[in-house]
Amino acid sequence: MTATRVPVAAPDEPPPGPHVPRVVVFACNWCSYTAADLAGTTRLRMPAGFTVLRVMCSGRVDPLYILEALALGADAVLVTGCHPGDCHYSSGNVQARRRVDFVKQILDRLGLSGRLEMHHVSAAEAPRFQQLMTSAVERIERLGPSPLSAGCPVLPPNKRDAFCTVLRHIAGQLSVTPPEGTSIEEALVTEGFGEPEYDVDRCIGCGACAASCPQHNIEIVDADGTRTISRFHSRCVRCKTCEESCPVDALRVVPRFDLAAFLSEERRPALELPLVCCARCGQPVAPRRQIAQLGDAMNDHAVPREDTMLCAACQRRAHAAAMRRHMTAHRQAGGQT
Amino acid sequence: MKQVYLVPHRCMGCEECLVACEKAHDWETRAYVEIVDGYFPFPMRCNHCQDAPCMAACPKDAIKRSASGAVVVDTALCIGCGTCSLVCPFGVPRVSARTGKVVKCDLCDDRVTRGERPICVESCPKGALQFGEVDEPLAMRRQRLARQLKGALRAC
Amino acid sequence: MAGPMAEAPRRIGVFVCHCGHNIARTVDVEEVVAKARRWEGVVHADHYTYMCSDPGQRLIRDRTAEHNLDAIVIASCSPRLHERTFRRAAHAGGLNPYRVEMANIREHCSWIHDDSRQATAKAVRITRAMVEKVRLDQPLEDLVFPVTPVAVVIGGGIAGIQAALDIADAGHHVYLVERSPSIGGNMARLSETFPTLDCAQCTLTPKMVEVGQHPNIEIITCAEVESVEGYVGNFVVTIRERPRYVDWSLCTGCGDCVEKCPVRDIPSEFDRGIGRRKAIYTPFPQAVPNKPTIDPATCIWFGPPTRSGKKRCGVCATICPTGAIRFDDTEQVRQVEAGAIVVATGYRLYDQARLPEYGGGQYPDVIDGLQLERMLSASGPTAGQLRRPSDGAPVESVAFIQCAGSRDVNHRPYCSKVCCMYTAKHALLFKHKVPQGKAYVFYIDLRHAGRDYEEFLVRTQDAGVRMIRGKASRVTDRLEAGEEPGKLVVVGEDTLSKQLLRVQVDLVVLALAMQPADGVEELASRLKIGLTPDGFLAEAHIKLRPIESMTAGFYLAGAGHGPRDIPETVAQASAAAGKVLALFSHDEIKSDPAIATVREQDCIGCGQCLDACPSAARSLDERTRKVRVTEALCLGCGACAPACPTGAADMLNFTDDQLFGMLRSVLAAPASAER
Repeated sequence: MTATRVPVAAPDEPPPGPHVPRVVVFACNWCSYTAADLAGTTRLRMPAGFTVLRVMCSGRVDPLYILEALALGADAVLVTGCHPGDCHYSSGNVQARRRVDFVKQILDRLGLSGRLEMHHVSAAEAPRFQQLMTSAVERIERLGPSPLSAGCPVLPPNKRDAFCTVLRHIAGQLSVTPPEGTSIEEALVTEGFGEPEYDVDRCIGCGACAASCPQHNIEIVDADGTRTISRFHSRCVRCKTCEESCPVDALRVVPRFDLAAFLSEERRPALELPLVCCARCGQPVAPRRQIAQLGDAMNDHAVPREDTMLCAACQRRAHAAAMRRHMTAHRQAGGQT
Repeated sequence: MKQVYLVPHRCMGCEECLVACEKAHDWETRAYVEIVDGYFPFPMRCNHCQDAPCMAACPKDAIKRSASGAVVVDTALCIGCGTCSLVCPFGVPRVSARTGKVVKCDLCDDRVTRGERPICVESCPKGALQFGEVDEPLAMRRQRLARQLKGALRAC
Repeated sequence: MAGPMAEAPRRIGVFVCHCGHNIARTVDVEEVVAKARRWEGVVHADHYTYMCSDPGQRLIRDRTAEHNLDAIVIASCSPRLHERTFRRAAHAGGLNPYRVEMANIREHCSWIHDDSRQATAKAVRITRAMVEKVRLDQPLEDLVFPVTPVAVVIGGGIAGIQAALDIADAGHHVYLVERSPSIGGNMARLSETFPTLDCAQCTLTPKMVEVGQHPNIEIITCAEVESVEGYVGNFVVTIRERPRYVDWSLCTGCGDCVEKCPVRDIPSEFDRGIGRRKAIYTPFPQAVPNKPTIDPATCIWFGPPTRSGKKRCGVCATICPTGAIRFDDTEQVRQVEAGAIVVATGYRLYDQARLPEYGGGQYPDVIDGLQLERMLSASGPTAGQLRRPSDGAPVESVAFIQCAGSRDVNHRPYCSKVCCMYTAKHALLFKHKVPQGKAYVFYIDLRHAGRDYEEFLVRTQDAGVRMIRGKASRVTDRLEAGEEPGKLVVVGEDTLSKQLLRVQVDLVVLALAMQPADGVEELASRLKIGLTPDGFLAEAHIKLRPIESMTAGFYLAGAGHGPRDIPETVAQASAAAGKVLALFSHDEIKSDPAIATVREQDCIGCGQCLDACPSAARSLDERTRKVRVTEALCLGCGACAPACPTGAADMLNFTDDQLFGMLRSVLAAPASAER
């Protein structure tokens, strides 16, 4: 997404009247949009409370579009695509289905059910299209208008930030605080949402995961002799960079979406490890486990000892001081510089 | 192998080497100047040890020896675990907070391959940093002594 | 492709069509125009009775030029109808055709709503949404790719042979790559073909010879396609040739080596175990190329040497008059450039051993249709005599079991289509050879759809073949009292007469299910072409695009695509060749430029978009850790973009920003006025 934000002119003052449903329909060029065209050609009458937006494939529909539409005040969103097996691009409709099911799970947890559907409509099924539009509008007339009033905040250019903004806006408008542990079933979580899970016995606390994470999702805090590794759930994009960078295979990135954690932006601690501190300045150097396992890799080299461990800065200073003493002694002994 | 070595009495702690290194390396310097006993400046960089502990300890084998003999970190393989930093007896490598990878002096490998000197050596205004073979300083000392002798003899 | 992001249009034109009464009767077109004039960036708005007519198009052209419009929206009928028309008209007026959008206010508005106020408000809404979209449209240029007019045909059976001939006859070079030492495929195994009982070799051999002699066809046997890089029109195909251990440029095909070879009892692959071959062999007499190869697994020279380390045997090398034997032959890898690839990998039969209830793999006298063909063939291992594999006794009675492994959810769920016909043929040929013999066919249904096929069935029945409607349940050698020893028993039910049957026969022939050839799954994943759930090659559209693969540049022919008979195979092969020739008839091909993009600075190389792409158009550059789109392969569906967590993946002229703009415009104004 770019930072281009397009201004939209202010709406006219609406005359008073009963609420007319505003249903947004995504239709794919090859099947459902064509079915809508055929419904028009055969003059099948429908209520006016819906607008069709054409995409080339239902797979184009991003979960963010659905949330944004609802945040803008859409009473319902319908995603329509080809029947399974018929997709012009072979698998787009299957992906659309998965993404819609995922958003449905989020909406259920927000208490906003019944406003999102996916339907498979072939290019010949004009009467079915008519029936879907009619029943969708009628259902909204029964269900009532969306509890979200129009006026979604401007979306930040970063896609993940935009997703969080819309989600928090909706939750805020609905005054929803989902309870802890409201994770969506792993199989239903779509691409881009996950969480790194640590094997607490294997992790040596080296911090390679935090260093490599492009989203700065993993946080390492050293305090009071303990290193705490924690994650922000909403930032993880399931790129698995952390998993690939871990030198001891202690990480697995799993598909996960926990609404409560997403909304609150809290840190989710993964594990704590005791630190070895600098023998000189007391600053934390590295977790005990990381130093302990150095021996295996070092072969014949001198393995640093925990009790004499120095931080890099003190190490340099010690070396510089030692060199200075050496040079002084050398000069005093009559050596040339 | 050619190395950077220090002529200590010439160093005045101006840190020009740090600035030059920073400019040549993506605005993050790989050199240090340690102050001993309050005012003696001691410039430091990687010693490119013959038997480098960082090379042995790296879990991803990201530290290798270049053609010119320098110990170099391959940032594509580096995961930022900081193991090299822990095992270096001189405290030289460190994990960059900006890139998450290790920054360490690479002996200006690209310059040396072209026949130039490392940028810190080039930039030192007092000639405190020199670049040469390990036994060169001794040879130079012998040269100097010989010249002094020659001068003394001529004066006789 | 547009280069870096072009400046957004600032001079948008809106043209509202009356479509006679079709729109204007319900939608107040003047109000749509009046509203449009107030929208930011719209510098011209107009309406006309028939926008798609000549004067209408001229209006668009003239106004575009006059007002220097850089993007237009035409509010009229469905884009599926007239998008191309209006793009061309705008282009004639100097406008980039990809900055033209259509607002569907007819099929989606005036034709389905009666209330004029509601319809007009909706027409305004729809038009405005398209103005928001066109605001961010890029001025795209059609993608153009050069075409290498060379084809690679994978598979040397009748499908590959036909496709190669058709393409070569049109003057283009063809590489025909075949895994076994000779072309000919499964058809070369057949004795006679239905419905005419023509000798298969007599119809096939002339084509094989034609291929062998064709100046435009290069046959590469003992070879497989290892990988294909590139995209349609510009493939680089890597072919790996196995060592033959005979230099075919020196070999004269005299056959002395084969005659003298002492290893004589190797089961012949071509005869499917019915016959035997030597360690040095030509697969069948009419092979093309008609040159021998050595099988190193069975050749003595390649076996353990003498105690003093000397190689054993080597008689073929000694006897060869031209010195063509090359024990030190190695495999060759070569790369060829091609513009199109025809995949004609053919079929194999289901593994008999998976049907133990029919004694598959257990009783030597239970064979499959291809093995029977070898026995029936006059040039086959039994010189056309039907003999029991167990003891060589003549066959006096035979049972044919249909749907062995087909139409069965436990094995292959589909119907293998040709078995009813070839079993009828087998039964008829048996009766020709053994007029007093007994033939029984155990069937579920009789499927003889095709020219002269039903008539053939009648002929078979007239010859005295007994058709028993009932799937055979078991073939066994456990006899009951009164049954003849030495014969197998087929247990089944005649569902028409409602009798349980035990029929004793000398030979049982299973009509085994047709499956894709061995190794097709790996080949398809190497070539990145799709397979159906049954493992056959997948076509782009089951009804309307049955010849092309989903991946551009790959065409399908023959039984690799699904069970079919020879006339269908030949027809499909020619169709595939037709597609290839259509591709080759241009020096360049044009392609829709509205495809997926990657914003490199946002791409983190996670690769989640790769799985979302149906045409393998996205790849991860290992070095830069960024995703790339191969333009020629991208179909422009946009399914990759939602998979991208950072928003780096997007689609030209269907961008995220455009969709957000459309949503905002559709929902910004409350719709209370529409009731």
